[in-house]
Amino acid sequence: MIYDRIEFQAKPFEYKLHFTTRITLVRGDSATGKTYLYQLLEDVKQLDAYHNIKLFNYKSDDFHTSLWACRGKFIVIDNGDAILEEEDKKFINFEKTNEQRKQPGYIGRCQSSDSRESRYLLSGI
Amino acid sequence: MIYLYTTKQDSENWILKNDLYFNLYTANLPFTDSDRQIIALIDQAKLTEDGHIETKYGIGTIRNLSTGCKTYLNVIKNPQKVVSAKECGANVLTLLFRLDGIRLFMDYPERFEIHDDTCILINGHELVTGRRGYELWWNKEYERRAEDDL
Repeated sequence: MIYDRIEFQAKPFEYKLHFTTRITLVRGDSATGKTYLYQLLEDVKQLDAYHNIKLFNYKSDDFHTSLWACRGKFIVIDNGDAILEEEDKKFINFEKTNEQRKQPGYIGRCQSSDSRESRYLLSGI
Repeated sequence: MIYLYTTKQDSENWILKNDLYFNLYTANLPFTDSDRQIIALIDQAKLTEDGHIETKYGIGTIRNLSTGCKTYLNVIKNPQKVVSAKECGANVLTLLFRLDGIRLFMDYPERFEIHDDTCILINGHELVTGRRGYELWWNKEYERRAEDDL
């Protein structure tokens, strides 16, 4: 089960993340909280409800191998500009089990609960 | 002059992982009043004498600075190195391109303010000026990449 919504509280804010596409890019000025969101998700993933979250950043061991092994995960990547190679980007964009879910007009939209499918939250891309 | 490089090199003189480099090296250097002003401007944080940072959300360490702020500090405190600016937001890129004599790596263009009189030497041999020159160079670069099927 991949998540369309991730909702939690971390004072002083309440977070309601709603995802409508298979790949979500988080962009913005520096110091607006992209990495902070990643760090919050490090805690959120400890909850049973969100155990399919898989997090990667520049500290991750065997990043490329681990990324390519992911199936049925909600993948969150911080420092994407620094750690993603071209082959990783192709994997994210075109990996077959994910590509099959694309629908006309809803490129990348998740239409299935197929457990092999992964979702991506790419921070700072 | 901004020295801009658009092809990645794995070299000791290049900083590609700004968080890591800052945490291990730049953070150990002394910080000037000018550095503190930049931290306040980018992160709205106050750097204390004992190396903590204070924000409206609480107290942290210098490792909690944003990647963009760390990148800016890596650039100005390591002027001999080429620093990747790929993780910077437009706010930090605008500030970086107001500096002189810095060396940056970016392999795609971004939207941010570049003054008309800013000189940018790209890959050591192509001189462009201002935002317009930057955009024209990247337009040609993308045409070249398309021709080469990159």
